[in-house]
Amino acid sequence: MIKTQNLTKRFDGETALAGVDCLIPQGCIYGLVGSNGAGKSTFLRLLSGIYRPDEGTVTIDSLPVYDNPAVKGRMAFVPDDLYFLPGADLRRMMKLYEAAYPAFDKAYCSRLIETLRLNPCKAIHTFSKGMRRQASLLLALSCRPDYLFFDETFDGLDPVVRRLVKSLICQEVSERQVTAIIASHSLRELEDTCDQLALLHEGGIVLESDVSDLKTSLFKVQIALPEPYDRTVFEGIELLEYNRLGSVSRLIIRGGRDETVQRLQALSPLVLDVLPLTLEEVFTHEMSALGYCFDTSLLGGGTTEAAEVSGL
Amino acid sequence: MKKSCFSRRLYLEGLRQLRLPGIIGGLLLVLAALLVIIGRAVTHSYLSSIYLFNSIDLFSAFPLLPAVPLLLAPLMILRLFRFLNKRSSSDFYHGLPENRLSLFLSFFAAAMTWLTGILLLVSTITLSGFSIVYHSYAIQWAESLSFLFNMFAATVYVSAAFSLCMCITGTVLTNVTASLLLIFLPRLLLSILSWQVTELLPLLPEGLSFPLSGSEYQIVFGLFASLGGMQDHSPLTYLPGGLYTLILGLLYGVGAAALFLRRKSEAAGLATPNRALQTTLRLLVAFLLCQYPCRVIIRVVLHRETVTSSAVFTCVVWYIVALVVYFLFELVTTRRVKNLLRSLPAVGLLALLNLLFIGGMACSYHTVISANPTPEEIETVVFDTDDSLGDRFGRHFIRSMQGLTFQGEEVRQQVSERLRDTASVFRGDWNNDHNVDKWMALRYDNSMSGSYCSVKVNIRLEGRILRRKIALSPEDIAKMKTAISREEAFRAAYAALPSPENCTIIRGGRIIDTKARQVYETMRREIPTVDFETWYAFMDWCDRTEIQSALSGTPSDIDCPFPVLPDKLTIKQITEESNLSFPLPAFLTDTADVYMSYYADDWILDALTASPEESRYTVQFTLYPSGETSDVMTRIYQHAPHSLAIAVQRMDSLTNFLKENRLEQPDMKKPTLCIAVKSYTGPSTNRGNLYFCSAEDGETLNRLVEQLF
Repeated sequence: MIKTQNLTKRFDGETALAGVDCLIPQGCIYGLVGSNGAGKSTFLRLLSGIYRPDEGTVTIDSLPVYDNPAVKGRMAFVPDDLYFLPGADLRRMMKLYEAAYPAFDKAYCSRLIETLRLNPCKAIHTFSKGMRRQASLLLALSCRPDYLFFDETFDGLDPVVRRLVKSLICQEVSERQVTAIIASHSLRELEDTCDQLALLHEGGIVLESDVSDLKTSLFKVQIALPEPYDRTVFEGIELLEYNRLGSVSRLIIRGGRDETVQRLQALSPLVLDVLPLTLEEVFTHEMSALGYCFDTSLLGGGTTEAAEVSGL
Repeated sequence: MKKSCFSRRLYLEGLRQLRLPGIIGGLLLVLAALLVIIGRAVTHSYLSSIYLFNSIDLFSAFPLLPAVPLLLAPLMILRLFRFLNKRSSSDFYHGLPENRLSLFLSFFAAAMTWLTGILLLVSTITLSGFSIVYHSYAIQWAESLSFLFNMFAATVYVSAAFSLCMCITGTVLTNVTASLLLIFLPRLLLSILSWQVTELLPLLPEGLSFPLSGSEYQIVFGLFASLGGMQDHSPLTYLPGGLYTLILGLLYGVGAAALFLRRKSEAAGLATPNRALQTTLRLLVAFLLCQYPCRVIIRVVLHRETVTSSAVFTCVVWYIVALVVYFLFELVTTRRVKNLLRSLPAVGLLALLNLLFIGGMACSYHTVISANPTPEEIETVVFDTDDSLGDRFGRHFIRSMQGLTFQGEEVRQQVSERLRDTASVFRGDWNNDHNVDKWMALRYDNSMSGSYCSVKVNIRLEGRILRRKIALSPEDIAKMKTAISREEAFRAAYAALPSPENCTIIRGGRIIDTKARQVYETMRREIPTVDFETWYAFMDWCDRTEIQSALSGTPSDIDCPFPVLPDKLTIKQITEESNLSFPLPAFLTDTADVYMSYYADDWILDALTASPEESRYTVQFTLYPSGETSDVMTRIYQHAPHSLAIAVQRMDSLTNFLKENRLEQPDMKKPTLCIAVKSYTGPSTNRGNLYFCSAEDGETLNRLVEQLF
């Protein structure tokens, strides 16, 4: 189990992470999503023991991580900015990993190399971006860690390999109860793979939930009423977005679905459609609620009337 | 996984990562070593008729060995620890399941393994090559091993310095800059400050202000001095210097390990993550450049120089250069123009440093020249002398003084007066020739070209020791010698010749080895039994003749007040660089007996008989104590071959007569006739003996005349 308490990290006077508390259970695939500069990579590096926290603690199974070889030997981190020894091929990197990670499984690594059809004798710097990422992934998986951390891992991978990697991760989780944390911008990737999701914004976790719960707490409603109306008719409903075109309004609502539908039906709508939101839409609206949005009017396109953010 | 300080796996990984530079560097050096051996073989065969090479040490055999600490060591450390300069690699290594100390020590050990291996391999090939190819070469093992040890120490030092700087900087440029500054700047600053002090106050002995400030103590500094054209490579074989360098290297290594533990992965790629360090480096570099204008200002403040427009201009230019370098340093290392403004406030610190330095030097100047203790305040005096003063005081005198503590009133009086006189130079007129001579003697030590010399003295006062140099004229030297010679401790030392066990060479002219040692040992035992004034007068004459010979370059013409035996005794103490040589005085009769027993009277007769065609013998008479030339009579008896029997008979009779009448203890205060009988047999052989006869013994004299004439 990974636990952080009041985890804080600063760089040059700027706070990258501020008082992050979280609990990640074992055997979970934890998705970490956030705006650019939210602190995702910093968070993962703190969990990996690369950074020392300025305040707070990070523990794995109640043991501190930083400068703790026993704990670090149980984890593998695949960063966004990959590193390989200059001029090295996969065989050379295997030797390095073998020297560094006591549980490194050379045979498993060779099988993965074969599966991914990578040339172990070719210098890695000649690989494409995707192939380098594959190399980094297979080396990390071959360490047979209990904890896997991925930062923008799927970036550059083709759909086939992406699917393969996901299946490998899931296999590790199901067979060995590995805990995986995946940081990504691609919510579609996380949607399929993760059990839990956390939304990081400006150094703090603003939302943490099961993926399924996240999808159901927000929903989209398309409604048309017979008489002219304005938004006041929806008073009492937590509106995140109100977009009206003629008599048809498109609403993004947070709250209990059934209860809200009942209230809307009481208005005798001509049209009432309830649609689920994708994680991307959930993300966008949650971030917008936090003030993370961009005014596209400057670009010369049409505007969307957004609901006022209540209390935020 | 247990916590340990060393990981074998990482160590092997480190060895692997350094394989390429290690193999290439090693191969290049081995090739160079082989080429040197072959090249010497070619030149040796060509020049063997001209030069005789009979001994060699490792540095002379392969002067490129310093490439290991100077080039290979930095390259290897930069290569192995370059992961600290890039975020991706830094994150990778900081994420490894090893504790940081283990990572650092394992990698450092890997680098040292390669470097030490290369040092040993190249040295072995060089020395073996010379031993095998040149049978006539004698390897100077002591110097060679010292040099090898010093190269190892320099390698550790440079490696540790580079490791330390890589832990606190984040780019290759700042790695190298900081490392070079760490290696050279402290010693350079020390040397310059020491020079400033010596230049301003030469009455302070060198090394007083800054112990261990000599360049021989920092091998890397000494290496550059040697490569820069110094012919003398002795600093590279100076073992204490190697030890000091090694200790410093180990300290840097400990510092590097501590800093590595604190190193943040996020510091990778930042020129100097630590603003305090950056400021310190900038200030030190700029302060170095400020030394010249500081020197000018100090001298003006102390009225040693006048303010001229040229001096002002020079100072201004140097300060501008220092400021330019100050800001340029920041710009080049951080590559951010914004940082130039951030570094502006620290210019005030630089100015403060300058003021403190100038003020400190001025205060020290006045403190030093004001320290003039009276004889009553002085408790004891110790002279810190070396053989170079032998040309002024006499070698035996100087050696007898060494290490002695003087408490006598006369010595204290002399030292107090001379110190006051010396200090007055710095308050006096710089156009005065005497002051200039004194200053030159203090600044350039014991040059034979000036009339003054300088002597280092350690003056013990109540609770402290004052270390100074005092300038002495020839008259001052004479007074000082008189004062010193009245002290009991000195008299005992003066009458005590070095123990034969501590001497490597003892020879007495034509007699050598055990015979010479016996003469010497007899002399050592006999000297304390002789009146000190006599012995002092004799040795003083020896010293004076040596000084005169050294000054004029020709043999001395000072007459000896005592008869001396034909040969000189020469000894060399193990701890001294130069020999001690003096004639054998005839008033040491036991010594003379032993000496002359090796020149038995029969020798003279045998010599005459052996080469009758070339033989002759002389009889020389000298009257003491006056010893004037006019009192010397020399008769040379040369015989024809047919008169050999007569000559032999005459000589035999003469020597028997002289032997019977020889005095046991010539009283050199009374008229004494010294008769020197010598035989000459061929151009390069002469043998002789001395006999004494009281000149007041008329009867003996008459009989002698009858024998001779």
